[in-house]
Formats: sequence, C-alpha cells, structure tokens
Amino acid sequence: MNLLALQWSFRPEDSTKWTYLIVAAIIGFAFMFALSRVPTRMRRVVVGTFTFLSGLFYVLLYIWPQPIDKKPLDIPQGPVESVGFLLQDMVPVVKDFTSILTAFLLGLGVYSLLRVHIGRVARRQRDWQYSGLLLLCMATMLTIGYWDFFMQSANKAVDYSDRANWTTAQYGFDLLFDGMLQQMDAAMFSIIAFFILSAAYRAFRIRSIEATIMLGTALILMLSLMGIASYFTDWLFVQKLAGGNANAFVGNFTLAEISNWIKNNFQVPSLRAMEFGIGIGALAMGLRIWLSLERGGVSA
Amino acid sequence: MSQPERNWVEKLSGAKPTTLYMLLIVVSAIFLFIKYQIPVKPDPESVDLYARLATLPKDRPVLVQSDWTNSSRGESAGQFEALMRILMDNEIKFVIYSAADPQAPQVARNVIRFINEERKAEGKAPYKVWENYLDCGYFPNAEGMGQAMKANLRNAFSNKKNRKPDGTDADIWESPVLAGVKSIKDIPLLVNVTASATIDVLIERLGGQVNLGLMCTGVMSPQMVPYYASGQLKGLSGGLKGVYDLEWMMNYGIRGDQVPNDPSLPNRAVCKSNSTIDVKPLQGTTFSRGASYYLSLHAALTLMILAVVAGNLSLISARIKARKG
Repeated sequence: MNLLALQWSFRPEDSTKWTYLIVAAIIGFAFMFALSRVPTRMRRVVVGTFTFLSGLFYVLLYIWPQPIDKKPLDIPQGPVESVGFLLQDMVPVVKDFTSILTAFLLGLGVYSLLRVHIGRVARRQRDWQYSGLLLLCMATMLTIGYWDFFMQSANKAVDYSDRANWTTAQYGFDLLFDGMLQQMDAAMFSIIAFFILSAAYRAFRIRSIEATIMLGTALILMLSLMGIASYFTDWLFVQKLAGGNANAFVGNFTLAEISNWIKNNFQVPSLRAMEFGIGIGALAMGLRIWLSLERGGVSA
Repeated sequence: MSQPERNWVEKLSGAKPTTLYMLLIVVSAIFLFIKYQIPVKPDPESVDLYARLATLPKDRPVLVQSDWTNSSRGESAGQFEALMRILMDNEIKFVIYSAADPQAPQVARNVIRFINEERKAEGKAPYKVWENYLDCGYFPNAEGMGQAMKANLRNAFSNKKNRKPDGTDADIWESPVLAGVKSIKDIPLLVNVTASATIDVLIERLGGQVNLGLMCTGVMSPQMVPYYASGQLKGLSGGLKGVYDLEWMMNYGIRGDQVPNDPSLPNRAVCKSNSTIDVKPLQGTTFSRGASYYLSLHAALTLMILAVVAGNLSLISARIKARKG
C-alpha cells in the first residue's frame, strides 16, 4: 500500500476525520503501550531504528539529486529521479508529522505542569499556594481563551479585528493576554538590564592588556550605538577637519567608520571561526545521535 | 573596632547594587518622557534592509516570520511596527506566520490592529485580512517548515484558511495576496522578526532560495553580522538602534550614493549597495517606539560606561599608589 496515497488532511466539516482520528489514536496508544512493555535493550533498538530512519530521510533529501521546478503531473525517468520525486513528495508529509510531534510537546508540558502542581496542592506541600494560583491562572486563561475562540468561530460575519465589535470575551482575553501575561513577560526580560549593569560595574576590570583592549573596543561599540556620539565625531572629522569632504582621510576616524572596521575585521572573522567550530561539533554530535552512538540519545 | 574611613574613590568603586539599580530605573524612566529626535547615521545593514523594503514589487507578497513576543518588545515591537508601516504605506501585501513561540501570532495580530487603528486616524484605509494580508498562525516545527517551504510552498501552507470579507473561511491560496505565487522563488523577500535563533534555521533551509531580511534584538545582532557580510542576509535591523535607523529612514528617505543630494531632503541616508535608489520620506507616522526609547538607551549606555569607569577607579588609584611606593 502506498502510504503517501492516504488522505492526510480533511476539511473541518468532513465527518470522516473522526474515524481517522480515533483509529490513529488507538494505534498510537497501542504502539506506546507495546513500546513500554518491551525490555529496555529492545526499546533501544526500536528508538535507534526510528532515529536512523528519520535522519536518513533528511540526509537523502540533502544528498540525493532533486527535481527542479517539479510540476504535479511530471513523471520520473529512471530510479534516481523516482527516488528524488518520492523524497520531495514526502517533505510536506514529514513536515506534518514533525509538526504534530512538536505540538505534542506542548501537551506534554501541560500534562507535566498539571501533574506536578495538582500533586503539590493535594499534598499541601511547601508553597502550595503558588501552585494553586498557577492552576487557577491556567484555568482562567483557558476558559477565556476558548470563550473568545468559540465566539469568533460562531460569528464569522463579525470583524473582531475592530475593537468596536468586541464583547466581554474579547476584552477579557485582551486583558489577560496583552494586559497581564505579555506585560509580565516584558518585566521579567527587562530584569536582565540590572544584571548587565551590575556585572559591568563589578567584573569589567582593566587588570591586563587583553582586558584593556576588550574594554576599549566595547566602549567604542557602545558609543557607536549612541547616535549623538556618532553625530559628534561625524561633525568633528568630516565637517570640521575635512571641510565636508566625506572621502577625506580623516573621515576614517568617525565613530561609525571605526565601529564598522572593528565589526568587519575582528568581529566577523572571530564569529565565523566560532561558527565553524560549532558546526563541526554539531555535525559530529548529529552523526553520533543518528547512528545511536550517543547512549543518552536513545536510552529509554 | 571602628572601620577606616573610605575616600571618595573607594566609595565610588564600592557602590551597592541597589544604588545602581535605582540609578538605572531613574535615568531610563526620566528620558522616556522627553521626546527628542537625535541625529543619527543609519548603519549600512539597516540602510540595505530599508532599501529592499522600499523597492519591493507591489504584485508579490512578502513573507513575514514573526517569532517575537513581548519579552523583547523594547526592540522587536518597534521593528515589527516599523515593518508594518513600511509595507502598508508602500501597499505591499504580506503573509505572516510564526515558527518559534505559540504566543507570537497573537502578539503580531495586536500590533497589526494597533497600526490599522493608527491608519484609520490618519485617514488611510486599514489593511484587511484576505485582501491585503494573510495570517497563517503558528507552525510548531521551524526546521520542518523551512524544509517544506523550500520543497513546495503550496504544500507547506496547505489547508490554512483565512476569513473572507463575506465572513466565510477559505483556503489562503484562493486569496489575491498569493496570486501568482507558485514557489518560494516567487517571494521577493522573507523578513524574520525574532529574538531567538530562528533565522539560523531559515538561512540553513531557505538560503539561496529567497532573499532574507532580519530584524533581531541587540544581543543577537553581533552574531548575525557575518551572515550580512556574506550576503546571506540582504539587510539587518539590530536592536533599538536598528529600530531608530528604520524610523529615521522612513521619516527622511534614502538615496543611492550616485544620486545627487537633494537640498530639500538633507537628512536622507546614503545607500552604497544600490547606487541609484531614490526613496522619498513616507507619509504618516514614522518616528514612534524607536524615537521614544532611543534617548533612554543613550542614558542607560552612558550610565553603564560611567559604572565601568567608576568600577575601575579604585584599581587605577591602587596602581598609582603602588608606583609611588
């Protein structure tokens, strides 16, 4: 049976989807149950085989000759083209699989969160009130979010992008999402500024030549982010000293030119060197995981 | 036992963290209330990004991968707002989607709604979903999505529906926004607004297939410069300076280095990568979030420089004392 010939997507109104969903769920649970019952050694073989096959798809996709500008009715000529066509046709299917798998991680996160915090509340563990608050907030967000979603789905003719058409559900969702969650998110992130300032004050010491060079470079780059400082050096070197001639030699000493010179001649090569190192490391690690040589990757 | 009295250098070098934190709060907050257009020379990478955005064809949509949330709104929100204003004012259609964070689509929708309200107040037509732009939501796997977009754009965005003006939902490929688009190569530019490494995935998967532009945070910006230098990124707006650069160019325009300077537009940025480009200022809101925060950035950076100097004063003073014997 050609797996690619299966129907992978359905319109929302198509009732066949429920049959497929139920069958897929039963097969999935049966497979997971069977997997949980096999001995650990055998489990490693199963995980290793799946890892290898998944990796093999992307390796083949990368090295196998691919059809260029393939049309839906094109017919492959010979085995090389056939594999190329098959690989390209499989890409969206594999994308859907990986998207579903990644989406499961969200579900896993929710499950894990509920398991941990319901347990804490039930056992009245230390600071259980925070767990209770977390569960309450989660339930409120879910309720209001779905209320808004179902309302928008039921009233398709209403333009909810216009605030004039909003009801309690939309205002409630906006208050919780934009008014609270996102503001707290921003507040958390802004705390970094305090740590950066404190670290710069306490740790940035000119104890050696190297540290002095680093401090000087950092100072130039920080100043280059300040438009007023760049504007001043531009005025000094180009307007005053060079009489407005931007191509004059002294024009090379503006803050913008010096910072660009540092970026292009020191920063870019250094980062490229690091990226090469990281890339080789990632390749080696990828190979180890793909070939199940990395025990941590396949232990179950 | 009494403590020996500290001199002013020691006091300055031994300030408590809380004093620094209070100073940062006060200094940053005060300047948020002062509106001032600081003169700036936009960075070449920002100029290149703006040049790309300002010369996009009107008959092809831009892909916008919006991967930011409000945790980086100081920079990302300004970049996204500027991007929306540039695209809308130039009547460029766009397709928006997210691949990094499930919250990202809603954050982007909120900004689009805000910009639309601003356009209405300015007497301009608001951008409408289906007719002017498409909202494709969230894709949980950035790697797989990038690969699928490269292999077949239609399949990658298959089964995505948006609401038509009559209230019915229809496949996005029936929308006028995607008219004439068959593959990723029909897209003139893909802009990634991000605070994470999603651009790495795009460069790996879609590099060479579509022109890539990047709007990233100031922390990410130095790591992204090599991609710009190699031509893998056609333009880059990094951090708050990048936002202000864009707003400056929106307000004053840009010209190629072969285009004669127009005395009536003295503050136009000069583009070296496109010598003949001649872009006039945009009508409507230009200076916004970037201009509001840029003075605060100046204050915060000045405070940081002073803090580093103060932190080193005792070290320098001790060295001088040691030399004097």
